[in-house]
Amino acid sequence: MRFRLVVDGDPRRVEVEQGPEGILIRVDGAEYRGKVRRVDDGIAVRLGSKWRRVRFVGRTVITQDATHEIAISEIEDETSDSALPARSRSVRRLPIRAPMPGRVVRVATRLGLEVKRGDTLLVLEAMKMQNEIAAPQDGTVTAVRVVEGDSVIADQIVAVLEGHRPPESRAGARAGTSSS
Amino acid sequence: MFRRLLIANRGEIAIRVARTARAMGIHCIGVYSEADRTALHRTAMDESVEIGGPLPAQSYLNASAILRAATETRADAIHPGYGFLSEKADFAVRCAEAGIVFVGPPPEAIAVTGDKVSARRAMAEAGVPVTEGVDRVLRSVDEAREVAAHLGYPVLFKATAGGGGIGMSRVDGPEDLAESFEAARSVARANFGNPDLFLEKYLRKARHVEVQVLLGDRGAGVGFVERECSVQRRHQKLVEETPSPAIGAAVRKRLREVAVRGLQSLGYRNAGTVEFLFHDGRFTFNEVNARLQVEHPITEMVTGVDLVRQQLRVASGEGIEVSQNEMRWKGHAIECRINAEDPLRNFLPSPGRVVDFRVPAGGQIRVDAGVAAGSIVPAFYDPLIAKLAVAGSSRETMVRRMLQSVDAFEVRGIHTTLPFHRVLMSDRDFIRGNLWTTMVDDLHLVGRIRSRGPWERQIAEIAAAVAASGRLMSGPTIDLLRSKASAWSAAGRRHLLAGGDHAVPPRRRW
Repeated sequence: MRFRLVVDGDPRRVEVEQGPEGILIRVDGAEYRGKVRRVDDGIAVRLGSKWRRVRFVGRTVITQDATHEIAISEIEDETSDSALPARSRSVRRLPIRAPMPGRVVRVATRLGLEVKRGDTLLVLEAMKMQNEIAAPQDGTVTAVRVVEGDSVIADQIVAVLEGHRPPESRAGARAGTSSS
Repeated sequence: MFRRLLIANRGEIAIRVARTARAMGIHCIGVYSEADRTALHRTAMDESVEIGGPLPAQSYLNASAILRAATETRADAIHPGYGFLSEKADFAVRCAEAGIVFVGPPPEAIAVTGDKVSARRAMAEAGVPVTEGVDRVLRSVDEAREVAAHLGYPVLFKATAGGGGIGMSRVDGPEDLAESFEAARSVARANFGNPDLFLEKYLRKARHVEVQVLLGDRGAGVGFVERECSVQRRHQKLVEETPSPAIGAAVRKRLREVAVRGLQSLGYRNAGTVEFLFHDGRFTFNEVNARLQVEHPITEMVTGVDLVRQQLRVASGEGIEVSQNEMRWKGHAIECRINAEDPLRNFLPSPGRVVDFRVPAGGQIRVDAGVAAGSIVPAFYDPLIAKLAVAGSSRETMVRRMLQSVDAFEVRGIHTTLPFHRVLMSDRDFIRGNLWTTMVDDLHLVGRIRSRGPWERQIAEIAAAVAASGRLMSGPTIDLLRSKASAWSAAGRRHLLAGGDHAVPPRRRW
């Protein structure tokens, strides 16, 4: 499961994988492993050595030592994505997201182009630094949703790739050359 | 002294300059771009003027707009801070033409130091030892190959118009030379409008040391105890300290004398810094920074000299308040740069809204911040949001104090370099003072960051609970009913639940 979780105004991109061994949580890419279980009035979570209880009251979360306001949006279920109708099972539609807010300084790809894993799709600039957004796998570009000069927000889909193999990693940004 | 000063910058440095200027009774005029209408630096000024669009070229780099603002507000001087227009000789010329004092060196000196090749030549002529290299622009790959073979690999391409660590490219052998040459040229052209490169011998495991210099009206002046800024990534400084743990009294004196003499030979005035590489017990000239530097607070903390005050005094013709004979320094100071960058994702820029901002406090702790809770960090500008500096008796105690201060510093809403600093302050080499410019990469310091701290851990817990509770099945929450009051009541509830004013904060261990 992927979703956007805002805690007390702090927005984070979260991925959660639940397995028999426990739970894996990625918060903006940083990994946490732990265990969860249901208790009478909420959920008990163990990320380190201690179990901590978390309760929900509407949009308020009550943990052991504080309360927080949360908001949840952009829920995506990974499994439903590959089960899209009218698509062959081997084809995988892969949205390419901006890893950070910034400005598109170069679009290095175009609709219909066949790209190899690692090819630069576009260059984003933020805070005097240019970041190349590379193709996470081989595939065909089926949508380019930005033009040069556009401002994008974090996680905005900037292009869509249709690949023929499962992705080896998520769309990543490579810190490239800087600019002023 | 000036009566009205326009501060042509933003963020922490604009606030820092205004602090001293206002204490001197000077009326401060701030400038801001469209993206900075709610920026904190506006509140540090007596008045402020909007100068243009969000892109630097439309506002903070727009010399015409800034001069217009200065004329309209009857400013008699402009302080450029660092970056932006601080090292543009033609801007200094235009200030003079408009009858406004530019708080900085004369344009001729900016021009010489801004061209790295001419700076090297001038320094060599003044008897300053210069890093081995060529003092001319390389016109072709063949010429570069010849020079590189003569210097011996590895070598470093540098842009003659470069700065801020941009436009440098290390070459380990002749096979990579052609590619690096073209790549470095295109980076230099894109960033500085000038593709010219020269070559220097690349020094492995070198330290970066620098001397702050202050020259008065007639060129007489002082050099300060050196700063060491070896902790860098992408050739940009992350941590600075003074004095350098590697330099003894004899070298310190020589370094200072050479730096002062070097700048004097250029006809330099006001504050400037001479950077050196320190390698095998020898120091060689690297470049001059013709401006106030980010890391100036640590020098202020060990010497008690307010560098901005001295800059304003020199620019207004009042002279420096300290002489070399009276100059004393005491103890040790360290500064960490708090950037809006995510060290866990290769220092990826992290602009956005700061939702909470808590700074450490205490004797000998200084925070120069450009943001507060509620501030927006725009994607258009430099990632530096704050500088955390500590000073005290010894390096050992200051490393510990810095670690505590980093732990007490909390920024929510955006990612910062704080987790990196936490790892660095616990690193064995750093603690021993064994520093070199590529240590961040060589020691894989970033790989040692385990977490972004207790706040994110809490988010991870909540996320796990959200997923486990089946809460996601009911779809996204809709934020229609959010009123202003709810944030206050939530804060109040949190406060009470945490134990109110007399709560003992939970101990942190991570």
